[in-house]
Amino acid sequence: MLTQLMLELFKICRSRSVHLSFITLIGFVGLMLWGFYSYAERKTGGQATEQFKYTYESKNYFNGLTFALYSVMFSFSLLIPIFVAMVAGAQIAGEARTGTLRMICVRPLSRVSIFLSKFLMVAFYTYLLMAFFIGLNLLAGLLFVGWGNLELYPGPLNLVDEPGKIMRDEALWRFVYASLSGTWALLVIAAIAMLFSVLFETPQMATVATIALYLMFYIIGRIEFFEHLRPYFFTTDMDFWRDVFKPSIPWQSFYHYGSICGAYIFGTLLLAITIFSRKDITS
Amino acid sequence: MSDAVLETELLTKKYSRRVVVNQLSLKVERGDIFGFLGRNGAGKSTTIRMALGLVRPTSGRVRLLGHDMSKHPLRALARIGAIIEAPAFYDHFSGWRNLRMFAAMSGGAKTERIEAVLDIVGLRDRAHDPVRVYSHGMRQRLGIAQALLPAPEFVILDEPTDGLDPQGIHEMRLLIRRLRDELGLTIMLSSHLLFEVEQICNRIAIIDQGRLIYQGSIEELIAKTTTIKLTVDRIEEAYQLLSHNPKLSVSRNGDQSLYVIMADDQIPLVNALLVERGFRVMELSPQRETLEQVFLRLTQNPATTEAKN
Amino acid sequence: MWAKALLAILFALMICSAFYFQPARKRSLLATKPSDGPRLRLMTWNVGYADLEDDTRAQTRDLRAVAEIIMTHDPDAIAIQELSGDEQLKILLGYLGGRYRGAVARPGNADRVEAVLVKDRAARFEDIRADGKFALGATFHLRPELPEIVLVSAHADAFSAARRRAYTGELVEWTEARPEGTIVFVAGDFNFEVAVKDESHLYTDDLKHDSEAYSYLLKYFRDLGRDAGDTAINDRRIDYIFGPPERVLLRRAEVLRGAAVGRMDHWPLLIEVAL
Repeated sequence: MLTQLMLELFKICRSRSVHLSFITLIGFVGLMLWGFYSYAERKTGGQATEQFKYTYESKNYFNGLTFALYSVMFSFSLLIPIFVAMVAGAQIAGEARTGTLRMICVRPLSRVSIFLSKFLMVAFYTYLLMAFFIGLNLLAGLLFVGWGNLELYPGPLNLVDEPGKIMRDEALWRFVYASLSGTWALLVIAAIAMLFSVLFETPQMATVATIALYLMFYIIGRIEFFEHLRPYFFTTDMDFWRDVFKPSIPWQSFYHYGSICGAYIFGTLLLAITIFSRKDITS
Repeated sequence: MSDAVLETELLTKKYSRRVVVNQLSLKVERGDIFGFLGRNGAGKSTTIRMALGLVRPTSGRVRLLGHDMSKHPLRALARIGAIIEAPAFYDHFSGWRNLRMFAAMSGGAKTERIEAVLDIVGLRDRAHDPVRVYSHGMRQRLGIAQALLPAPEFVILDEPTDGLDPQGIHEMRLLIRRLRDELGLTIMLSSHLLFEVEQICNRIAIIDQGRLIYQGSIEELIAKTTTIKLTVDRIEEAYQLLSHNPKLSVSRNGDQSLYVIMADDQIPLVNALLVERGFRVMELSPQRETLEQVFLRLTQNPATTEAKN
Repeated sequence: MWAKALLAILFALMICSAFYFQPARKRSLLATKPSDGPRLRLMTWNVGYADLEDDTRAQTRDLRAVAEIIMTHDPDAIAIQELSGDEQLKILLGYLGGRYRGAVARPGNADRVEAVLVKDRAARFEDIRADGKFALGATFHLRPELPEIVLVSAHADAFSAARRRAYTGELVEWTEARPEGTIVFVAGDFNFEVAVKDESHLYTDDLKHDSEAYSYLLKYFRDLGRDAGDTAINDRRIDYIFGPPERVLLRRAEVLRGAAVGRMDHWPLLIEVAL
């Protein structure tokens, strides 16, 4: 299993889609910086050059931590799930398409260990992606915007319904928690993509099916008319990861929704492994 | 105890109502170079995939190197090497890196071993090139190299010459012979190239529409029946006379001669019958069939036979 | 096989964990309270009109309907905003049939006034100076043996977040100066924009000022009407009743939607607490 993990790590490190995901995230951070800068310039009447770093009289109002929070929240909804679906969806279907799956499956390796090693590597990749992205945002925030406490306001993030504040050191820890809770939430998508990767013969189909399913629930779950359906969508449960940014983390509900995500992950993996173990490899 | 390295027992595979492999019982003995023949879609690849555990049989049993594949597939797979159809590799890695990876999946291999198999397949000079720049023949040879890496007792090669040019086919034939002669491997070879199979294999199995229609040595298959070229006067009458005999299979070659397929012991009887009826027998010569002719005869469908007749 | 068994165990564990940590379970436990003290019912209502009218202050013709709603829900005290003056208060008290006593704040620099109506005949009223205008505080008893209660009727500036912040600050300072043991409620139309999604942006002061003003109030008070929903048209929750964070148990919080009369743009907010 360890050898298998090392091989999967080697493959994932050399995978172009993995490289692409990291490069895109770097581009996204640049775009966010540019977006916030031009937004500030527009809203402050062209004084952003002086005020962007320390906006208005308070350093705490908009700072590097706020920037990182916005950037992470915005990208988590769509960008990062796409990368996770892309990498996870290619795991089985990609090898089936290139023919390497049949080469692997005639080696003395159980299909369960093949599948699990691939999933564990996807999980590792997901964590790396989250940690890298959060770290990059904090770094960009520190360099270009400035440091301070994390001020929370009701608004586009839909995170809190009353203003709050997290002190700087505590906020940094919250970002660390977010890298873990975010990874756990994204593993739901990874598990679904792995299931589709077993069911479909091409990585494109597996990725598109995963993203379509995610977007369908994500979009419907955000339409007010269908509010009553929201509790039944896995995308709603995935939102638990954001709770780490609430001034006081609601641990009870955090564990509850985290557990539901866990049930999705392990249930989907169990189903995928059962299908994969019995699947005829005809590619 | 049986010395079979591969044994299938009434192996059947159905995809919904379509029967792809139908109650197939094969036996590959240790030391064989076993040719596995059949037309496209006859069920060869499905049978090989079932033998290797890639496809689950609908019914029947596979024993590979003495292990029941439904119970202990990994024990058997540890002792075999295989190429199924075109060998596939991670194209962006070098041949060497690919071999390292596949070796790791079989418990690892030392550098010397990798160098040795590269020498066997003649790829050592190009081992560090990325696989994407390899020719088809080089990929096939790399495929054989990966199959040889775990020092297997039994190698399954599914269409190893598929897509190769004549030079590549020749090289592959030499390579397979080396595997038998130098490494003493048992080899199962599935191929369309009957001349190659005839040259290399000692035993064959022929399947058609998923059913086994012959299994045994090539000599036995070829010696079983003989085609006689028969040149007589009143050829139409001779055709009518002989075609009524159920032990004979007669076909006409224009107005000149007849081809009669019969057992060897029937030859003098046919000759006596013709002479007795007053025919002038001008030529009665045995035509030894090639494997290809036998294969075509055995696997051609009734419609084709009808058209030829 | 072991891997499948492990996954099945983890799956079951997650399901159990989800049930164990179900937030509703904790809520229901918290909601259980063995005994209740005496109940106090408070209402706040901005009876002014929407901007569409020439005079956006309360209309005298609506006061009978306002009185009927008050009588229906029977609060112990009511904070009212945007009366045009003392005259309207008298008319309203008249419609209430003498069941309430009341007073209006000094107009200050505004054209409209805040009022408080209370059932307690011995209630005292006091103007509270905040940001150049006046709120009104009423001090009363629910029962003689219970602690004194103060209800402040407030109306913060509708157009300037900075002024709302200053107003709130001075109001809180006044409430902090009340004698120890007094139970203070601050009710009224604060016009806070703390839940807007698209009207504010990161580089405006409004959100910051309102957020800080609201946070400042929450430092000393509890937002009792928080779960009752919007109190004004256009999905805004701008009317509040703030109460002591620990000394009272919230029993009811309700926005009386549909109670608006004429072109009023606010609904009354009613809360009931156990002391």
